[in-house]
Amino acid sequence: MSSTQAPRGFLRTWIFSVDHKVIGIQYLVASASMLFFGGLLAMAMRWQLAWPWTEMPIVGQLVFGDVGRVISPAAYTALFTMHGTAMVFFAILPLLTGAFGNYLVPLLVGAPDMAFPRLNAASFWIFVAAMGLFFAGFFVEGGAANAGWTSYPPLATLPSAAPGSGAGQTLWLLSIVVLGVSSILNALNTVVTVVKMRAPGMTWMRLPLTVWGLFVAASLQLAALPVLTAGGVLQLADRWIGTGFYTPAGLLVNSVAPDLVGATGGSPLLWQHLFWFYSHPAVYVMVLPAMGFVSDILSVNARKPVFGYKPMVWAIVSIAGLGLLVWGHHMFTSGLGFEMGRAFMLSTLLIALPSAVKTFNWIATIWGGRIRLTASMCFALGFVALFVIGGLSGLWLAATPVDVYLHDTYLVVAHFHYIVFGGTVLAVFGALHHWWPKMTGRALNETLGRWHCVGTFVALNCVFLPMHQLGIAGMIRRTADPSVYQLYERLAPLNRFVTWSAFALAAWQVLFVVNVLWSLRAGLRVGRNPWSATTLEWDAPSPPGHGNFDRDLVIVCGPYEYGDAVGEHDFRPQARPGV
Amino acid sequence: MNRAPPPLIRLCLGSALLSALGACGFEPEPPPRTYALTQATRDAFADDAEALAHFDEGLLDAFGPPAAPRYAAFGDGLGFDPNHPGLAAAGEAGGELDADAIAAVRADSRAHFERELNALTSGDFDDVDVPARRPGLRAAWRALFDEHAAGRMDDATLRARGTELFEGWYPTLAESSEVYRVECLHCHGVEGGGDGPSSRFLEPRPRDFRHGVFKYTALAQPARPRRADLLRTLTEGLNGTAMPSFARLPLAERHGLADVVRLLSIRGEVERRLAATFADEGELEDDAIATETADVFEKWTESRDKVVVAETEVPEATSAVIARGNALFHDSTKGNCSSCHGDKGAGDGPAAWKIGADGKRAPAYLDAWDRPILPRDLRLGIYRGGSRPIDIYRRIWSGIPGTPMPALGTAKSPDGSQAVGSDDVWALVHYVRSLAAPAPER
Amino acid sequence: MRHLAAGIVVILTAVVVVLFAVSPRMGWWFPPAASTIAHSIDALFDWITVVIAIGFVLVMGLLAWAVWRGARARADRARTSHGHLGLEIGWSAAIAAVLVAIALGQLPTWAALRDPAAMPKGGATAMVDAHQWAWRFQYAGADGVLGTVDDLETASELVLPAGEPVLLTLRSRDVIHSFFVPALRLKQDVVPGRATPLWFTIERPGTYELVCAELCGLGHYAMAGRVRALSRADYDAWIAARVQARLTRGTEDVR
Repeated sequence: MSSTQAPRGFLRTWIFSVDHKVIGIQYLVASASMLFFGGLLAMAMRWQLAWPWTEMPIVGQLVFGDVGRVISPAAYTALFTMHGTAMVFFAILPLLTGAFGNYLVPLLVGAPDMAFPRLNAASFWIFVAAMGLFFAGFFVEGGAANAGWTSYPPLATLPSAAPGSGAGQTLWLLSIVVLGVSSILNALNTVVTVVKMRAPGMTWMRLPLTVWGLFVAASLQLAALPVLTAGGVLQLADRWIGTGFYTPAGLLVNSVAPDLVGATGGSPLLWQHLFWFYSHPAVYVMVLPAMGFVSDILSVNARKPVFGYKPMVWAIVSIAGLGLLVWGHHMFTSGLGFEMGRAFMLSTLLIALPSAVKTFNWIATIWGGRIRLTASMCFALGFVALFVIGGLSGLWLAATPVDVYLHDTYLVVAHFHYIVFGGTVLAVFGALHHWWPKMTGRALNETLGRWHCVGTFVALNCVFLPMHQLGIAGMIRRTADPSVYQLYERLAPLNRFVTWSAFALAAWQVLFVVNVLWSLRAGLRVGRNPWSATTLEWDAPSPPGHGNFDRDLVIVCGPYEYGDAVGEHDFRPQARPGV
Repeated sequence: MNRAPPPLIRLCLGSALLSALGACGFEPEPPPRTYALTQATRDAFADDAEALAHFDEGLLDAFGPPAAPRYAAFGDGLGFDPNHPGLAAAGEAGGELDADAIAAVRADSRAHFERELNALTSGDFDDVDVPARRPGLRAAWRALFDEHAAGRMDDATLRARGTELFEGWYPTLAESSEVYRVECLHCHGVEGGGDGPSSRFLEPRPRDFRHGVFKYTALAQPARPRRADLLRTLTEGLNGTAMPSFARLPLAERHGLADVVRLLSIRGEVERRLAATFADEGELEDDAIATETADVFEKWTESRDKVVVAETEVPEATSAVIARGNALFHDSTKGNCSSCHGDKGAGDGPAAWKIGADGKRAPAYLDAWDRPILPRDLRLGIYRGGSRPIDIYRRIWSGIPGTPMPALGTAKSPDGSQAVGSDDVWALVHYVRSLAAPAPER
Repeated sequence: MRHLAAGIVVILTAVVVVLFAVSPRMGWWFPPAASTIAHSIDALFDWITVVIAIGFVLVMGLLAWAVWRGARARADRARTSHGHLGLEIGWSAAIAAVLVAIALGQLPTWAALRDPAAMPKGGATAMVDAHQWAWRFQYAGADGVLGTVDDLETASELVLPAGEPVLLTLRSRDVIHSFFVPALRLKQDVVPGRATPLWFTIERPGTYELVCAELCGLGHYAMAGRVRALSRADYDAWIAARVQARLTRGTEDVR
C-alpha cells in the first residue's frame, strides 16, 4: 500500500502529475494526436498520387492556396518527410514506450510507480517540447523539412539543396535530438523499474511478455538511441559551423559551393550508418512491445497459456540482439561493398528466425483454445495475420540482389506499413480495448470495437496490399507524380484504388473515436478483472488509485496460468488472492 | 458475443467499401488559373483603375485565359496560324514546321507511343490506353474507340485512323498549356514570370519569359529564340541549373511547350511595353494590343536569319592552339576574359567583384532582378548552353544576353578593327575546355 | 463472429494469391528483363516467392483453422499446456533450413552484381553525371579516352552497346541520387564525393527508362532518363556520328 498522498486539483492531477498512469495517459493523448496528424498528411499524399497536380476539395484552397491550390513539389516532399517523422518518432514509438510503457510496466511488475517519477514527468514534457519544435517547422521560410524521415545528407545538411533544408531542417534535427533525450530518459526509467522494482516473487521468468517486450525495447533504445542523437548533433554542427562530417569536398549544390571551414573527407554514408544504427532497432522498438501485448491478449482470450514462454522470451531477446546488427541492409544500394552486403544479408535472414518462431508460438497458443472473440482478440489476431505478410515480404528484401531492385520502391513501403500499421497499430488498438477498462473503469463497446477492427483490417489490406504490385512494377517511393514515367502508366488505376481505400480507412477510424467518447460518458462500468486475466494489473482497482495496489502482493506463479489444470477457475492470478 | 452487427454499421461498412471500389474513375478538376498583371504594370496605371481594368480585359481578349490560350490579333499574314500549331505542324496552311521537323515529330511519336501502336496493329484495341495525363489525345482515342464499339467503324479504319492519331499527334495550345501547368508552372509561374512556388528556392532563378531575353540560343543578339533554341533547352536542359531535361515528353509535346513559352513571352512583353507607353502618354490606342502583339511576334519570326555559324572549321585542340587561346584569354585588348573569369578561369576576376558596403567582396554585377551575376568557374566544366565546341563558340561570339558577358564577335579593338576572328574564338573555346579537362594526348 | 473472423483470414489469403497470380497479366509486374543479371534476379525472386507462398498459405490456414475451431461455444476448459520443446526445435530447424537455402541461393547473383572481381577489365564505357535534377552522360570521343576535352556528352539519354559487359562510373556533384533502370534490375546510389562503379550486360537493343530512386530534392520525381542500347555496329556508328557532329560549325542550324 502506498504511503504517499494522491495529489488534488485538476492541474496537479492531470497536467503536472508524476503518477506513471497519468503520464502514460498524457503520452497516449499526445501520441494519438500525432497519429491523427500523420494520418492527415498521408491522405494529402494519397490525393497527389492518385490525381497529381489537381485541387483537393477545401484543403487545396485553405492550405495550398498560395502555391496554386495544388500540392507543390516542395510541399509534397515536406508531406512525406513529416508523415514519416510524425508516425515513427512521435506516434508509434511514444505510443508503445511512452503511453503503454509508462502505464503498464509498474502495474505489471507490481510496483507503486516508476523508479523515477519526476524524471518520468520530465521525459514527457521534453517530449512536448520536441513536438513543439516539430510543428514549428511548418511555419518557417521554406517550410518543414524536405529530406525524408531518414534525412540523408547532403540533401539535409546543405540549405541550398532543398527549400526545407533551411530553418525547417534545423527544427527537425532539434526536435529529433530533444526527442532522443526524452526517449533515453524514459527508457532508462523503464529498465530500472523492471530491474529493481518487481514485487516479491516476480522473478524474471514470471514477467508477462508485455513487460519483456517493453523492457527489451527500452534496453535497445538505451543502447542505440544515443548514437542517433549524437549523429543529429553532428548534423547540426554541419549546418551551423560547416564542420563537414557528412559533406564531401567539391560540391556545387544549387549553384552554391558549401563553405566547409577547411574540413574535408566527410561522407554522406557516415550519417546513413549512424541513422540506421538506431533507426533499424527502432523498428524492433516499434514491434517488440506490440508482440508482448498480442501474446498477452491471445493467451487471455484463448484461455490457454502462452505456448513456449521461454522460447518467446529468448526470441524477444535475440531479435533485439540481432536487431543491432542488421542496419546495413538499408544500404545495399548505397555502395556498402560486396563483403559488407553479404554480412548484413546473413544477419538479416537470421533475424527472421526468432520472428517466425514467435508466429508459430502464437498460433500454437490459440490452437485448441476456448477463444473469446472480444474486440481486443480480433485486433490481436489481425496483428498475427498482417505481421505474417509483413514478415514474409521481408524475405524478398533480405535477398540482396532482389533488394537491389526493390529498394526504395513501394514494396518497401508495403513491407513496413504491414509491420507498423498492420502490426503495431492493430496491436495498439487491441491493447487499448484490453486495458481501457483498467485505465478508465469503463469498457469500450465490444460490438463497435469488433466492427472497427473488421473494417480497419479490410481497408488497410486494400491500401497496402496493392503497394506490393506497385513496388514489383518498379514504382519508386517519395515520387510526387508517378505518371512521369511510362513504366508506371499501367499502375494509375491501382494508385487510385489505394487512395480511395486510404480515405475509407481514415473515415472508418471515426468508429473508434465514437467508441472512446461513448465509453468515457456511458461505457459499461467494470470491476477489477473484467477479462478473468491473471496478471497483476487486474488485481488493482479499475482505475488504480495513486500507488496502484490497495493490497499486498505476493507473486506465486507465472503470468499465464489458464486452462483445466490451474485450480477452481480456468485462470489463476499471479498474486495470491486478497489479504 | 455473437450478436449480428447493427444495420447502421453494416451500411457504413458496405458503403465505404463500395465507394473505395466503385469511385476509381473519379477525376478531379485542375485548379483555376488566371493571369495576373505585374506590379510594374499596376504602378504604371497607378491612378487610373478603369484603364487598368480595361487593359487587363484587353490582354485577356488577346491571349485568352491560361486554360484556353490564343492569339486574337492574327488570322493570317504570318504564313501560318499560331492558334492551331497542330495544323501548322502538319504543313497545312503554310506550316510553321518544315518537313524535317515534322518527320522528326512523327518518328518520335512512333517510338513514344510504341505500346499503343503495337496494340493497334495486333488488333488489341482494349489495350490502347492513353494516360489521363494527355486528356486531349485520350478523348480523341476514346471517340474513335466508341465509334468502333458502336459498329460504325471497321477494324481497318480504326487501325488506320488510330495510327494516324498517335503518329500525327500535335497538342493544341490549350493542351500544351495544361502540360505547362503540370511540368513548368512550379518554377516559371502562371504568367511565365519565373515566379512559380518553387522559384525562390532555385539558384539561378527560373527565366522570366516576359522580357523576351533568353540566354542560351544559337543566335546573334539581340534576338528572340527560334523554336529550335527553345527545343534544345527543353530537350537538353540547362546544365548547372535546375532546368531539367524534358526529353521524357514526346517531341510533339515539347514543341507544344515551345508554343506556350512563346505565347507567354509575347503576352508579357506586350503587357510590359504597353504599360510603359501608358506611363509615358497617359493613354493607349484602341488597337494598341493588336499592333504591339504583331510587332513583338515579328521579332520572333525574324530570328531565323540570325543563326551564328563559325566562319572556319573547328581546329584540332593542339597545345599550340590552346596556348593561343590562353594568350587571347588574358589579353585585355582581345578576349579580356580573365578580367571577370580570373587568371585560372575560376570566376574570380577583379572586374566581377567590388568592395561592398561592409568592406567585404561583393558581386559587381546584378541582373534585372537584383540578383548577383557571377562569372562561371570554368574549371568545373559545366556549360549551361551546351558543351560542344560550337556551343561555347556561340557563347563567346554572341555573349550571353542579360549578363555582362560581351559579344566578342562584334567587339572592336582600340584601333577599330575586329577584336577577334573566328580562329581566335576557336582557340578560346579549346582553352576554356582545357581548363576543365586535360587535352587528349596525340 | 467466428465465421467472419476465420473467413476474413481465408478470403485475405485467397485475395493475395489471386492478386499475385493476375498481376503479371495486368501489367502490375516486373518490366520485361533486359539484362543478363535480370534473369537471375527474377529467378531468385520467383523461387523466394514460392517459399513465401507456401509459408503464407500454411500459416494463414493454421490461423484460420485455429480461430474457427477455437471460437466454438464450449463449456469445457482448454488444456493447460506451456509448450513443447520438440515442436519448438522442429519448426525452428525447418525455418532455419529455408533461411539457409535463401542465403546460399543468392550468393552467386550478388557476386555477379557487386564482387569487384567480376568487374569488367578496361576503362569505363561512360561516365554518369547526376545532378539536381537531370542525368548527363559522357563518352570517350575521338581519342577513345574518357575525361578529356573531346568527350561526347548527352543529356537524359545514355547510349550503350548491347550484348557485351559495360562499366559505368557514377558521380554526383550535389546530393545523393540513385541510378535505377527497372528493366535491367539495377539500382546503384550515386553518392557525392565518390566515383561508384556499376557493371552489367544489356541483352538486346532497346530503350529502357532510367529512374532516380533516391530522394534528391523537390524535382526528384521528374528526374527521368533512359538507357538506349544499340548493337555494337550501331553503337560504333552512333559514336562516329557524334564525333563528327561535335565538330560542326553550326551550319545545320540554318534553315
